[in-house]
Amino acid sequence: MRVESLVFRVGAVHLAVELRWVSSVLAIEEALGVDSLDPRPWLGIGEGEAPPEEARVGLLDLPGPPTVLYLGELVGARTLTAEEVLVVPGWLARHLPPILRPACVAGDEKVVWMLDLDTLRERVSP
Amino acid sequence: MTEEDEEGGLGGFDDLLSEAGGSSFAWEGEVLDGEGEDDLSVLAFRVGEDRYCVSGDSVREVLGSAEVTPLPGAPEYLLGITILRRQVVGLLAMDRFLGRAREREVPVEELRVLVVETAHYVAGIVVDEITGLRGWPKGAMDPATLPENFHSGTRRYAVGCRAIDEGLEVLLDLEELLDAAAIQ
Repeated sequence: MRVESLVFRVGAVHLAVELRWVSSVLAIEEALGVDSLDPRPWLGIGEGEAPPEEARVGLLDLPGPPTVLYLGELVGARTLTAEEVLVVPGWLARHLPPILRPACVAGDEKVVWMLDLDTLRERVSP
Repeated sequence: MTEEDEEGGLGGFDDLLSEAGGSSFAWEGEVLDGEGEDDLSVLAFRVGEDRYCVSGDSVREVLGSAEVTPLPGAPEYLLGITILRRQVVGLLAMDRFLGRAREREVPVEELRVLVVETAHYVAGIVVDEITGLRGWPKGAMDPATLPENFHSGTRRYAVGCRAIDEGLEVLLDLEELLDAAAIQ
């Protein structure tokens, strides 16, 4: 099994989101006024921090009003396979922010966390 | 975006995680054999100025260094994770967890990681120095041997203590300690 994903970096944290949910990648200025899902507050990154110049957002292919996901720095596309997914043990997973799935993948000396888009949506728009 | 239905096709993170093994380790629930000798074999180590021991049976290996990835949003005592032979291992900073102040912070690259395995946990205990492997008399396995003024943050996890040249050495109940680290 494999899942196409989009890898991006928010602060020092590398995240992956399922590519099927992202219809296009935009500069932040192109999405002004559009509803936004921002993982940064859940990752201990200040909302007030100015995004880097190269920061991007992803327009999400979801029902409802147009919504973008804050991506920060786009790293690239990556195909994830079950063989490379590393499960975070339960006792550690309890300390993870709810917007992350209890799993990650490693590569290029970086750990990439798997974003739980459903939970992020719920938490932002209860 | 369309989803491929054939075997090996695209699926969601839910399916991927399920196939990768869910959220538990295969060995969770296993209990290690008990110690049958008169003396318990322990591994001794130093964290700051404090001396501790843990049962040698629970020590899987010692890492001279580890690539540490911070765990987003985790409490300060969890330094992060390291990946060891495709296993995610959480790294516990003993001094921070026990509330023991340090005179100076030790750079991560100078620390050692004691990879321990108990009945329910695999974890990395971050220590300054391994000080030896030795026997611990069963008679010294009594929390009542702890001095009255002993640090309260550590007392809860102490099985016993004994005097050594460098001061006091404390035998820790790892399962109890990791239980607390898991839920705090």
